[in-house]
Amino acid sequence: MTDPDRLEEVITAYETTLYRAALAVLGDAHEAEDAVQDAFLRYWEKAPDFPDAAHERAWLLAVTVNGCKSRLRSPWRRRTAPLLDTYPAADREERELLEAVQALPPRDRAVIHLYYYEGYQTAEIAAMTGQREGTVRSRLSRARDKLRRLLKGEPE
Amino acid sequence: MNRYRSYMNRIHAPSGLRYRVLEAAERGQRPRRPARRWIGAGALAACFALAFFGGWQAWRYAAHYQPDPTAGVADPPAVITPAPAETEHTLVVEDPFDGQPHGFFDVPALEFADVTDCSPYLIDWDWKGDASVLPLTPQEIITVLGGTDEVPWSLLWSGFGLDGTAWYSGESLDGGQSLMVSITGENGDTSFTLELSPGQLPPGGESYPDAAVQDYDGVAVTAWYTRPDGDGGPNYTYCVELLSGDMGVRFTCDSPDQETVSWLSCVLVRYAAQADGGFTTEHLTPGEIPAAGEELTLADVRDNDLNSWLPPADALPAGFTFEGGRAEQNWGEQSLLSAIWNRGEDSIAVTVCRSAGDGDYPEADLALEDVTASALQGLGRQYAGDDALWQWSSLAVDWGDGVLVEYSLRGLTLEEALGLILGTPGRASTSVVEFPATEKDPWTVPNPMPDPSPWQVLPLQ
Repeated sequence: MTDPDRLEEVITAYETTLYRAALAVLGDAHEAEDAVQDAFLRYWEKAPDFPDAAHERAWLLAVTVNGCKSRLRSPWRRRTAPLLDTYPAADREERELLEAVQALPPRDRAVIHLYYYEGYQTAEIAAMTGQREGTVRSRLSRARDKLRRLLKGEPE
Repeated sequence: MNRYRSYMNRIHAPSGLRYRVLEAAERGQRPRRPARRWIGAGALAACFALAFFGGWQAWRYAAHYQPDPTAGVADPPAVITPAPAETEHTLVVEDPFDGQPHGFFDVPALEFADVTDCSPYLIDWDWKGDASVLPLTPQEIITVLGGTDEVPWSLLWSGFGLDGTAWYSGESLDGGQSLMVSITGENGDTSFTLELSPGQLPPGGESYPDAAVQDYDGVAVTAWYTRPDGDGGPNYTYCVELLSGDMGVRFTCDSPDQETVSWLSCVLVRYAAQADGGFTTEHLTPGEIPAAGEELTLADVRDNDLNSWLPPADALPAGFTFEGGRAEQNWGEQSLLSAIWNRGEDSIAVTVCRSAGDGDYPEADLALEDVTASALQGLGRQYAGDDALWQWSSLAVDWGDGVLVEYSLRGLTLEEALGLILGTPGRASTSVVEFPATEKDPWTVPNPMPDPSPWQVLPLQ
């Protein structure tokens, strides 16, 4: 088990990062909170060793994203707190973009978030999400194309 | 994506999240063990396919991806459906020569275009009409590959563990035809996917305009490969596509050993292009295609054989109303009955699974005789900051005799949850009324995994 002090440090360092990723994939505040809690509890149980903070962060994000995917497979998932209704006010253009992103399949949303927001390379995303790198590249291309069509232009 | 970033930058984790995690850790709760989910055929057939192949892919790449020898990254994140590389395959190809050297000399020397730095055309596709998916038996795999009692040795697949899946048109027993077959193979660091479609190339997600097209024995063969691109992926990926007679073939092979993957691809082309046999799907018939899940009313739920394991009406806490139910049959081996009740934001979702054999079966969190208030407390989390209310995202209870019941509960007290599971009327409120679903639509799977987009070719620049 992880030392409780260490666990608190990890939570403080990464809770917002994981929460943003979970929100991007699930689009639901309550579900995202559950997914993040599960990820931290998994960290607490496994007490993994990492050579540096970058690997620790990547591991936690991977656990969170994969946990989100498993939640999406549950037949009992209900959208109880739509992201856009409960979160910081978005201006018109932000809202359009967020709605377009939320219209993407969950796996595409995960790749978009990890690539554009977290800055991971396709090979890293592939390792984190258990996909082939070619698949990740395809998802990115497809997602960009869909966003382009939905937004009638390049997303800013 | 600047606006996406600027919006996300304004989002922060909810206050209290860290305290709830620390509190759970302090109470000695173990993390929720994710239960493998049962996925029925029919409407969720594509999801099964995605999970099946995504699962094999996930473990194959998770086990082999080594970005840095000194990384020391901990165990790969848990993924729900995949199996590790050492999981038993449907069929393992034996070496008919018992290790004796053997080979042949007319393997084509194909030209493979290096498309590592090229952009593919992305092709969105879906089956026209309904489609069902079923796993292949060992004999079906052998027959698809053109063998009788064993996998043809001339494929040089000795040592590979094989699994196969077939897609059939329709959801009924009548007229179902084979649409596509996919056979995956794994042997150490090397893996492949062989896709076969009668009458056309197998539908695919990407196509490279720069791929090399050449003639082999009168058959046009498209061939491309990608290199490990320096970002950490160790594998070469080789792909060949051809239409040989009435059979469309795509073979994609991955390995850190370029010579191996190139050789297997060339051998495959030699085999597929032969005029007197090769691959066939003619023998495949869907047989018993499991019916798609059936949506149920409350009366239907209570009439179902598996209702005995659902909470009785008087075990439900006050205020919960029935939202919907569903019955499914998975591959003939598992019977599922699911029902959900809601009370505002609170919910009770119960899935009963009865397995006829050694079906895909999540591990139980508790045996029925071990269900106690303290056991539930150890597996749950407090809900919405209220000390009295709890939630369990996934709690699997083994009821014995092949029955496992999974509970997803939110907004119940410990006593209510205990009473619900054990079905003890005295522990629950007596003012319970089961209301059938009202003007709401019957329960459907919310936010399911997306099916592939409708078939259309979308060439992208």
